[in-house]
Amino acid sequence: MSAVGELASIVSSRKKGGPKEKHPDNKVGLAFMTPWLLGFLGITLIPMIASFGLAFTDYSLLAAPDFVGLENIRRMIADTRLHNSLVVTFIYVFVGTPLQLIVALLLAVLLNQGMKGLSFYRSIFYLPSLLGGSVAIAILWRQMFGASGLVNQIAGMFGFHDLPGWVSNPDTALGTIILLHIWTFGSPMIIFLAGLRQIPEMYYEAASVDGASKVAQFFKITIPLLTPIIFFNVVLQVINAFQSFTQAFVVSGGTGGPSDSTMFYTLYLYQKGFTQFDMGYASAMAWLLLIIVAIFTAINFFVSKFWVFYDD
Amino acid sequence: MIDRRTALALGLAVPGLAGLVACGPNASGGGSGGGDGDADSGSLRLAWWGNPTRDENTTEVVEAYKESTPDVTISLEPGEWSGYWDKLATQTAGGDFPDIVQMDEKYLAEYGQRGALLDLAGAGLDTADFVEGSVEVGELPEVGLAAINAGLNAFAFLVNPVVFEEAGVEIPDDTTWTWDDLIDTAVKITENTPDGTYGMTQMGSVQGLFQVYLRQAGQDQYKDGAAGFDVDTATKWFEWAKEIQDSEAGPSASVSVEDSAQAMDQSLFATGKVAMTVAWSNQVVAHDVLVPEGVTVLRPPSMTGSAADAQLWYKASMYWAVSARSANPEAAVAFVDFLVNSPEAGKILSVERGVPGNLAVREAIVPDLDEANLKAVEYLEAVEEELGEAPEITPQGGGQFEDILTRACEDMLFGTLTPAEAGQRVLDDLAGALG
Repeated sequence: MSAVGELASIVSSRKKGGPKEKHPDNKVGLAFMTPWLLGFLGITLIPMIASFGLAFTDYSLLAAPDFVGLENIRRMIADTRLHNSLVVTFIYVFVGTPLQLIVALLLAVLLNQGMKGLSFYRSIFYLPSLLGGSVAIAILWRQMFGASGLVNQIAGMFGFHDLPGWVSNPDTALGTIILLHIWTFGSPMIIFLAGLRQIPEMYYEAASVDGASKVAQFFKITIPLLTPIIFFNVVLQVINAFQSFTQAFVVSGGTGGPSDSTMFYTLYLYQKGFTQFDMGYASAMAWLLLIIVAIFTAINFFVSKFWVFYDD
Repeated sequence: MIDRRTALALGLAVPGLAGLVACGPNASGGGSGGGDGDADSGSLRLAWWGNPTRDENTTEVVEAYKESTPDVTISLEPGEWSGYWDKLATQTAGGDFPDIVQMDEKYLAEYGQRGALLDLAGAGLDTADFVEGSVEVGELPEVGLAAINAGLNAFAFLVNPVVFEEAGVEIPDDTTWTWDDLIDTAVKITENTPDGTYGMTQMGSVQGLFQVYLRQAGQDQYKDGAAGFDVDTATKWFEWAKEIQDSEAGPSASVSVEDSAQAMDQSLFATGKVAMTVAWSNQVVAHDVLVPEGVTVLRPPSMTGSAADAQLWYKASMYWAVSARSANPEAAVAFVDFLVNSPEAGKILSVERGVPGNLAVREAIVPDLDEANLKAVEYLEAVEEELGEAPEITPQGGGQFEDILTRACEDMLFGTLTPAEAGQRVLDDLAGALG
């Protein structure tokens, strides 16, 4: 993978004294990267350029695109369902991501206590992240939170009878999907674990000698030294959450219902493009999403100056 | 120690890992590599949506065709309703439209008027044996016969007699019942049965029944390519739907939402939790096997209490259409001709796609039908005298109407909209969709 290659080159360039080193002939490197380059050009770059062009057209998929200028943007400003889908997505991102990261961090700290069978637990906790985005789990979720699903059956044991279905009620449907999102804490957890390993033991030793409690150590040592990792996870997970699609699509049966309460931005985009033959509009929506994600990432980087502590 | 460089390296490595993960079990491999109709050989692609029964009989009919015409190979592309249209739209965009497609009335104008479908009459398809009115439903202005009827349908009420019996309620006379009688009957059933069993399903979001209601009010879904109804009628419809919920004739909003997402065999009706539901008549067979004593088919109620005013119509349950860009249009049309005009094909396909519009085929298959299939045929024949005028074909963009109606109805049932607001919303959204 390219990332591994780049990582290696960073490491080697550091050893040899940085970028001053002359670039060797990198034909071989390019040859090795061809599969990735082809994929990048064919599946990412060219379609992106095409979608930018289509954003200014009326394109029904069936007939050739018609240039309409800024008409799609004008329509987006007036489209109340689009505004609703933005609200739903923002709630999902700004409630789901912090909760997911808190759970990930707490579990990472727990797993970092040098317990036996660590790799086993790590795998177990990572499992939901592999499964959570999948169709099968979303279907399971729909069953669990249905009117006669597992959740209501358990609630029934505690005397709460005749509860409505959680996924079929507009007030709670989004909550169930956020819960599913929180459950996929595995990948930030692994990254937190790697970060925790990098914090030198001596700080903790010194702190315990000074009589600092575990809680104080956590807030005074762990958190400050972990801020670059936290920041990294925040950026990554916010971007991920903005792009969530599968969960909402499957849990709501592709409708975004009930009452548009799980109509994620991406789901609405999909409906516009593929079920309503409005690919020009969907392309414009895709670019708006890119801009939104870019803005939030920029804000994240800007704010990071005030709370992220780099130790160099 | 974590310094800027380590963080940066992570930034590069982790997406790479994520990429590796994406190659795992989730990445099902997009390229299905379906057969594309080669120009030189006689190979065709046939796409349809349906259910296991339909997949089986369609496969069988293709095999029968191969025996008589061995030089044509037909590759099969079965699908499910929801995914089918997404797939067809993308295939069209990619210039990869199958040669023969099963088409629905909702999308006929969408594809036909954009030039995706071949004029079957111009290509010489024989329609002489079709019952009057059944060919015209596939005609589009400026295109011609864009698709040929694969079977006729009418809207029907399905009753589970077992639930009626348990409740001690008599099945009403469907030639005289009204919309209020329907709710009264359903309320009685809900009252006389254990909690969680209801008289009827929530029907407020059922497009077919909404259309019946509109037609009885002297209107229709579409008129001259725009909405054919006014806000008063839509409001009355939603008030009626609200009455189903408020009187407990039917289940609450969230139970209904969940029910509509269930597979047919898990639905309230199939599990004996509800006495009455609605469906198109070609679905009688599928429902019949799910209910222990079979279903009873009733006409929808009327506003006047007379079945003569029920304003039903024969709908093409689905159509066969041929791609305008097919490499083998002649072979494709010949196969469609076999599907709709040959009694041999008719016997295999039976009435699963609706009762054949071709009378010669219908006569050939009726004697062999089993009881469930006969119910559908008998229902169609019973209402023939009472039919109203044929409705206008769904204009471009009208494929969204069911979603629009469902959304407004759900908002109304969950209390976010009043019936009047829901009525207005439906009209506004529909106008937006039709553009």
